[in-house]
Amino acid sequence: MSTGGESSPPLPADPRVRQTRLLVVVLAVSCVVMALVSVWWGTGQLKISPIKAIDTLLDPEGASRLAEVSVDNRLSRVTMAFGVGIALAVAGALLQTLYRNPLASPEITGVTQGSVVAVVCYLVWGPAGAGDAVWVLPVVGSVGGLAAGLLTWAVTRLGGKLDPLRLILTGVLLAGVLGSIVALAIISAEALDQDIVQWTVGSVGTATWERVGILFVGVAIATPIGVAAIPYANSLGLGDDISQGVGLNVNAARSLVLVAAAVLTASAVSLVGGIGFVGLIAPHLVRRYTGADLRRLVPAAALAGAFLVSAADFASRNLRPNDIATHFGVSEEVNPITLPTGVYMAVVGAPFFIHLLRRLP
Amino acid sequence: MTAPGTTSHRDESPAVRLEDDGPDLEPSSWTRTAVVTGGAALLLLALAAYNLTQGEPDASLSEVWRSVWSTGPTDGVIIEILVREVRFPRVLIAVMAGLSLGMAGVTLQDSLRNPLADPYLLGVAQGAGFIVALNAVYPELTPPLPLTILCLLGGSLAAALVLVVSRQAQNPVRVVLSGAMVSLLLGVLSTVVVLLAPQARASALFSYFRFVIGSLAAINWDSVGTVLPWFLVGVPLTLASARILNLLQLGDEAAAGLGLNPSRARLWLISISMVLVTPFVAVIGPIGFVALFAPHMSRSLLATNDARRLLPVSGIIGATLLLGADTAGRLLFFPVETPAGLFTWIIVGPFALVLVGRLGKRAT
Amino acid sequence: MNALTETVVSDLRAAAIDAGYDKRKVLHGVDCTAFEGKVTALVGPNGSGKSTLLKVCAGLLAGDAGTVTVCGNDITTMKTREVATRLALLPQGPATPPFMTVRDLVEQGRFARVGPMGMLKRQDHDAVRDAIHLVNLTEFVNRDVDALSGGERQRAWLALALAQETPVLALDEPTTFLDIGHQWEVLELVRRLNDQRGLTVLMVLHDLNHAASFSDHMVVLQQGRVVADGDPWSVLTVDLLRDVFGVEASIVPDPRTERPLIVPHAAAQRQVAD
Repeated sequence: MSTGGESSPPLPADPRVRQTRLLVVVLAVSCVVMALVSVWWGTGQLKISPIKAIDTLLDPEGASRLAEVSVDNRLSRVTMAFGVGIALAVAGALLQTLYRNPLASPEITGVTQGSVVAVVCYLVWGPAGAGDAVWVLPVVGSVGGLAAGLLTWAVTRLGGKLDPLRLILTGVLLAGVLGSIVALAIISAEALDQDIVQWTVGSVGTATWERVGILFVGVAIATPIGVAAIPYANSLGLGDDISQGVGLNVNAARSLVLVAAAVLTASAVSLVGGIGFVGLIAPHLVRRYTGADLRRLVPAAALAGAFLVSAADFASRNLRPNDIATHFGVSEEVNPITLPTGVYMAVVGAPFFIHLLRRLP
Repeated sequence: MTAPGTTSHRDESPAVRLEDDGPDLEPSSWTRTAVVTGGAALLLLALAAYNLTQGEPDASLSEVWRSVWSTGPTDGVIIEILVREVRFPRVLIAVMAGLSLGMAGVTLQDSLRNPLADPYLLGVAQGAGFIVALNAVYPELTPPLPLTILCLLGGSLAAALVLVVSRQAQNPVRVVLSGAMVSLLLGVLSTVVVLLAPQARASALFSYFRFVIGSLAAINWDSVGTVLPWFLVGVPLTLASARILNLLQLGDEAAAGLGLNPSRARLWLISISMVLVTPFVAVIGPIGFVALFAPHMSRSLLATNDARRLLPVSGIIGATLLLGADTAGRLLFFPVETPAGLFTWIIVGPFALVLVGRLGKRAT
Repeated sequence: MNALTETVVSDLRAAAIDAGYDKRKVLHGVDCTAFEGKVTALVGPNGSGKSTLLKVCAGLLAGDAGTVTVCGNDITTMKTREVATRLALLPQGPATPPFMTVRDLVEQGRFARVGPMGMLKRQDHDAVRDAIHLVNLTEFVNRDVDALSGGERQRAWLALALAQETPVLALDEPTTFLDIGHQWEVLELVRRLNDQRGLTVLMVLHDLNHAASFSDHMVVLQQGRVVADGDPWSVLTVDLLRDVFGVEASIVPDPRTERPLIVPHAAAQRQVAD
């Protein structure tokens, strides 16, 4: 049929396209700055000037061994933080659109908890020598996360209608199971395993290049699915009737979006642990400028997530509780450790969440 | 419920009839209440008897009977010691805790007019958990009070925070969301305390993790002594508040019109439900969804919202649920024990989810 | 472009439809046709099954019996994408996510035509531009949909359906939640689209006078059955208004358009349902 409207005037340019471009540039620069600062600035062991850091990277032979190790370590950590932030933020953006709920996020939809439960169970009750092969835990975590995500989705859709209460309660339920199992694991191990505790909150501190590699394998598998899912998710955000009306196979589209989000979340969480709030916050930070359309929202949110996690990790490395305790003269009362990244995400994220909740109608 | 024609010879005492509970209730609903209460109580008794006899070694019912009632020193009979010192207090705590949770659930749901008001969803367990962690690692930072009172403070503060953050205490979605997030934050803060514990104090942490599991494995007569005073104060106070609960269900304006200050009544009701629940949280840790599930189950069994009947029935159902979870957890994979907390999550949780769906359907 | 039979007639035919939700049957053997190039209005009292019939016609709800053909093809044998290139649907009271502009919304209408990665091609952008122009929202293209007035919002959603460039358009109570000016604005727009583009329109309407003024053909449903079918003058009778809609009314010609105009003056004496 003919369009009959050949004479229709051109549409004015969309200011959000420009805003998004600007935002992406700003966020990308922030990430780079964050990376440089992270590598350069490390209290405690060694201070390395930016020049020296770059020198070390370009010419490892010329640099001191210590500086080399340090730079290498910090750089892998920053890369890990970026990967985790990108994966979780994209998953959050997809889930918020899929559930048509601004507060949906990986930790609310059970994927995070499922992944953590699976890994903790494997570490404690799994075969001996568990976790030896570096790829084992991510696979276990991904399977757990996917299973929990699908379970939550099925439960939420019981009776055909999307029920936000069920969604949240399933998350609460899985969190309860998780808490109980982690505590049980610690008790039965008869020794306090700091790693498992750190892990429930999520820490980038365990980064090695090998693990970074695995994370990016996961991200590399999930990203094409995620990108392919964008037009579907965009449509699903308008409701089932509209989606089907414009030609979407609604069930297949939903599964695709859900799988993309679950794989992204699981590949991050199974490497660094149950880091929360990234997927919730990052899309909200940028949505005002990019609009709800995921084609613009996703790239900006991914960069925002990368920045958030690397900033939280920077805080984690440099805000040492022991230093603060020393200042007050009670250093022997405090374990000289750094707090995991997830703690700082939660401290920033919880008030932000409260702010979001209060703005809801 | 008498036909107009037959009342004429009785209208000399209308005031008495208003005082009476009879006229506004179908007689059959009291029958129903009696049947449900009796059935649930019988089930509870049977479960308790089963729990006391089973284990390593098994005991016969007569042995159990003798052990429970013998007051003198046990003459070295293992089974008597086991039943009297280990199994019996454990059953007693499970029943008391279940009763309290069931009754507190009704109180919270009706006073907030929110079908999902539940101490766990209000963050009570995580609030108490934070205090337990802090008290274990840095006892000098917490006030020198018994753990039950500390848990009462921590749990109540968390619940208050959740209700304030949600802004609409009667909106289930908002309350559950704020509860989830406040719990997440408190959980992270507890983890921070755990991680900060220096080696010298690390052993104290096990009491915290034992708390988080939500288990009745460590119960003894001392624990019964700890919670008993709270239980003896909380239960009568709750039962006495049934009429206030019924009034609040009519809505704030109607309740105020009938002479009740709704805000003060609500504060009072939330406070006594905290008194009921938190001492048990201090002793056995977080037990999810019992306080959510028992009231709804009794509502549908009794087909009423009358708090006077709901409170006891919900209490008995709560006790049955918790004792059942503990019994199953203790015996199912014997000798490995599944904690009651985990068991309630896995068994009661799915029911709760289905229930939520039905509530949602009714609302639309 | 596709393997289906070439479009012969741009119409929508539903024959002998039985349908319902779970165990509750709503429609019993309903026949309903939206003729090519005509506006067909689906009317009936509350709960008569109008919206259910529209859902069946649009393929959103599978009927228990009967057939629906869109442009000569059985809807159950077509893929969702193929349906979406022949029939566009505007459901009742759709909700827009926050921060979604009119353009973002309307571009969604091209879903069935764009490639797998959702990249819009030249003709897609043209279709979006035309659709927005047709509903007169060109100036508002970068506004967020949830910041528009009720009438503008409904026009934006209509543009989404128009961007699908389908010969058939199905609308479920497009005037609900609108005040009277915006109701007319939307209905006039539908009429204009029908005139200019030759669209076949099937719409559920609540207001009988709207149906009489804007449709060529009316189908009246009562308790899941068709009780009248034809042009407005033949369908709208005093008896029908009393028996189906429960109102005593006069029917007079609209002095301007000569279409029937209903002037109700009393609620009908309801007979006890038999």
